[in-house]
Amino acid sequence: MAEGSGQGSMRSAIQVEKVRRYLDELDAALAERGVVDRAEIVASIREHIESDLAEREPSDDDVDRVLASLGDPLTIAAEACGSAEADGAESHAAAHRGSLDERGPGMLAGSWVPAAVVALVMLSSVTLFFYLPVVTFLIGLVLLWASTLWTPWEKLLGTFVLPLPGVAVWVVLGGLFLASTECVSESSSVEVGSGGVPEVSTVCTGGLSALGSIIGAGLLIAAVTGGIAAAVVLYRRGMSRVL
Amino acid sequence: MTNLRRGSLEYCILALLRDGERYGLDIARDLTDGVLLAGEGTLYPLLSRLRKGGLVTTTWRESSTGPPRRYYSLTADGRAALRVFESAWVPFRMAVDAAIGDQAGGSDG
Repeated sequence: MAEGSGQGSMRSAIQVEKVRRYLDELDAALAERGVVDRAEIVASIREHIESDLAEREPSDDDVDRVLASLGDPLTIAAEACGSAEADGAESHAAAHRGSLDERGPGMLAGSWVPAAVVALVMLSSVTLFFYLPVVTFLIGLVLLWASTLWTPWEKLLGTFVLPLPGVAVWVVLGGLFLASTECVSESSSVEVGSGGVPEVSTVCTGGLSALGSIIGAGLLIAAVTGGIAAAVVLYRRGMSRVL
Repeated sequence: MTNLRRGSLEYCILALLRDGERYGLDIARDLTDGVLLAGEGTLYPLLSRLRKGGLVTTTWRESSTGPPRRYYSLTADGRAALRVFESAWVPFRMAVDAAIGDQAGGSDG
């Protein structure tokens, strides 16, 4: 016993933190699906990690390897309630748990959910100045947050990064609109001055400067690629957790 | 495919315990061929369910290399369930093989 705790203490703070974060994520995923034997599953997985790392003085790579081979916490949570319906050896167990497990394989965890979330949030955000897209946008966000297919961090990613391409589109449209109105106003003020000075050529300086438009274009490209990358990540992770 | 894999996996776990008690990491290492077990972590919900179903039981043992471990072993019910599965599995496998074999051969009429 003393030996065991001695070896445990040699682990670096980063390693301890990595393991703790993994187990927290697992615990949250099991809790979200209403898994009854959550404490037992978390404890036995903690033990698995401890047993593996106790075999030698672990490096950071060892910790990463153990956690990677255990796999995605959400997949474990899906397994924990997904196979409750399967027949066979655990039929006693299924009968045993009764109503507590009637939440089934997670909430809103069907294969249609990832595509629906990505489409609703991304497409609606392009046209947010109309009423209907606001409604479909909110439906997309509710689906995203209510589903058990994603971790809280992924849900934040979906909420803030997924609408970026849409936001970029209306920033571009708004920018064009602003630039053009300023052209008009400046030229008219010169005419009212009635000096007849041909300095009307300064008309469009009120719009975007060259540097501004380069930075703007960079931000827009970043927003669009970020949004698309977020869509790919959310879709693929979501689908990998569908039972 | 998921149900087929999952259904067989539970009996594979029981079969691994046939010759005596083992701890989780040890069982996981025998199943890491990537076919039966998606990730090692998914073993534990299954073990937990088998225990609640009365097919396996757990005991704590001190370990020379680390913290104490819970060891899993078959109960009488578990042994019986494994026997039933084994007796059904061979005819089942042969029937599936025969059906797939016919399909693949395809030449006979």
